Amino acid sequence: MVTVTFKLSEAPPVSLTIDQPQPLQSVLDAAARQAGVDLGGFIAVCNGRVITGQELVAEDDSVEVFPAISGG
Amino acid sequence: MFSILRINTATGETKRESYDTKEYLLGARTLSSRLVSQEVKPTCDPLGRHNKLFFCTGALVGTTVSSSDRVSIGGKSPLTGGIKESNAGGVVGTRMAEQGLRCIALEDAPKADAGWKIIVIGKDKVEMIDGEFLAGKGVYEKSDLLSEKFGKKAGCITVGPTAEKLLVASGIACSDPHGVCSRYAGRGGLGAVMASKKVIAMVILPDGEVKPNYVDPEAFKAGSKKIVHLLKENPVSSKFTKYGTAAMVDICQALNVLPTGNFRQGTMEDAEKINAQTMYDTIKERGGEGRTQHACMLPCAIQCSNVYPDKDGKLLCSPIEYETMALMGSNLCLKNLDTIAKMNRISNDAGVDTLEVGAAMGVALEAGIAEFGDDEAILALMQEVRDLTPMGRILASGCKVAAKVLGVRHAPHVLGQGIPAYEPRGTKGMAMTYLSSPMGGDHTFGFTLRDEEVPTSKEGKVGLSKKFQVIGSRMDAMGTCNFVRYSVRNDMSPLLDLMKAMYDVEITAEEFDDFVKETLRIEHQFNTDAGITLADHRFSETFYEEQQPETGEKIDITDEEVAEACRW
Repeated sequence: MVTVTFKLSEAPPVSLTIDQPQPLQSVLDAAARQAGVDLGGFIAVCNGRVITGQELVAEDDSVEVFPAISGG
Repeated sequence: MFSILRINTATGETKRESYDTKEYLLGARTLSSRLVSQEVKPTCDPLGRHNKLFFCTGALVGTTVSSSDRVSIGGKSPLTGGIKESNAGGVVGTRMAEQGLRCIALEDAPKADAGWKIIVIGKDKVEMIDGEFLAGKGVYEKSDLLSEKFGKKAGCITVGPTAEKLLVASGIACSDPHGVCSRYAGRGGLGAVMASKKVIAMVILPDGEVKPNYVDPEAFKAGSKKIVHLLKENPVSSKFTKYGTAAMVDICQALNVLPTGNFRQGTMEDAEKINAQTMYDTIKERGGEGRTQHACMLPCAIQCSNVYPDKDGKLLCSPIEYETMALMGSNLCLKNLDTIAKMNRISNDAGVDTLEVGAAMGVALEAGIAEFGDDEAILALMQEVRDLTPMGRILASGCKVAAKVLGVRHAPHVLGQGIPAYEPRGTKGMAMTYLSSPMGGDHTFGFTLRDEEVPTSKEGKVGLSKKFQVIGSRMDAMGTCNFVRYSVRNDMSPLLDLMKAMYDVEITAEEFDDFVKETLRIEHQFNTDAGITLADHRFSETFYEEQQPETGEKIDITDEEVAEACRW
């Protein structure tokens, strides 16, 4: 089970079952659809490390997704 | 035609000139940096009579276009010794537009023992009146007195007591839509430049009668609506509306770049106590005058500002921004939003840049002046800034000076300007931007963090930083809020079309970016002519020697890479 948490969002965490490691982007697209979240630009942190859309996520991974905003 | 009002602060003489160039059309930083470059001798004393201070509005000011009324303030910085552009929201830009002014230039300087003056600009005359009654007062009291005298609708600009003492972390405060001078052009010590001219306030009266003149009103109306639509639809801009910039606390904590304990670390235990959600919930729970969203200028469809109330629901500080939450929060290991809000309020009243003084306080705590995380002791230190004690004056002189005086090597600054709220060893893109900005450590343009595939690696960061220096500078180049950039990042045509509909002047995306790059080139040239070298474009040596605990990273960016990032 991969858990995707959309930070700074009212959407609940989404858990997805995947048979084999998949690119983050496809996992996020599925999770965003399920949670009704408009993804936009994002920063994803998996197990404490920033990962890109092409990198693989696997069972038991936990992904935190932040909106990619900036300070001021 | 666009007008510049020149005011000789020594003689009181005024002169109005008109120009019809694209630089004047774009206004803002495009104009201010060119005027500084053309009219200020790079080697002059920034607090002497040869420096000038330019207040410039942007291309779409005074119209119905969201978030376009910022005022850019330019001059030679007493903090960095180089060129400076710092901009603010509020109503000053709007009032300038109503008076038909693209730029106000403060020139020359009277003798140091001359009395304080207030410049009052109305439709019929420009006056310099006695401003002694404001001397020594905090910005909030000055703001009240100015509102009482000129009305809440006037566009007021003032400086705090730190600027009056020519302390170089002082900013310039501009009035918001409620008549409170709380919108700061904080960076670079421009408050001290204004005070060096013995101008304690400048007031633009709300009696201006100049209205925007649209070549194609229908196209402009449609274009203006399109901008609102883009801002509302953009998922990034919409996050700003709910949480403001405070959303960055969680992001930076997750990325190991939340400055903590004088930039020694990139994470703080219990950071959630000062994050956006906690601030949002606190404001909602306390109610009263608190607002989770608030516009710093009108019109604005983003409304990222906030009003933070005290426990009784009374306004404590507005706004609280991420950069302040980090520099005056996690950087000092403070975990209480009320303390941060009080720090922010005292800073605003003293008239100092919260980033610069936050960085200076970090080095002061490292020097043992007080303990990290000691709310009361740190608040007392902050009060020393407002009270202008010797220690307060050191802190109000910025991070670099404080580090030298207090004997701290780990001083987070570049070109003498305290670095903003992203620990550079954890984000080499932001590090590259800090190192190569003509303004000194700066984050508002060249914001790479969201686009760094591997933040801890310097690979490709010269190109990435330069790419975002252009994207970020586009908004400064025309006086539009930086947060609009998300909606036009890949296509500037909605804003360029508005200029076409207003002025019947076609500026292509390529030509616009050429202006942006040329501005950067001019700014770097000014710095070179002022004597700034590559050796100044470095962090303190400790950032190159000591690993960041969370990532094991050091700064590994070379002078050659910085030179390439500075080349335009």
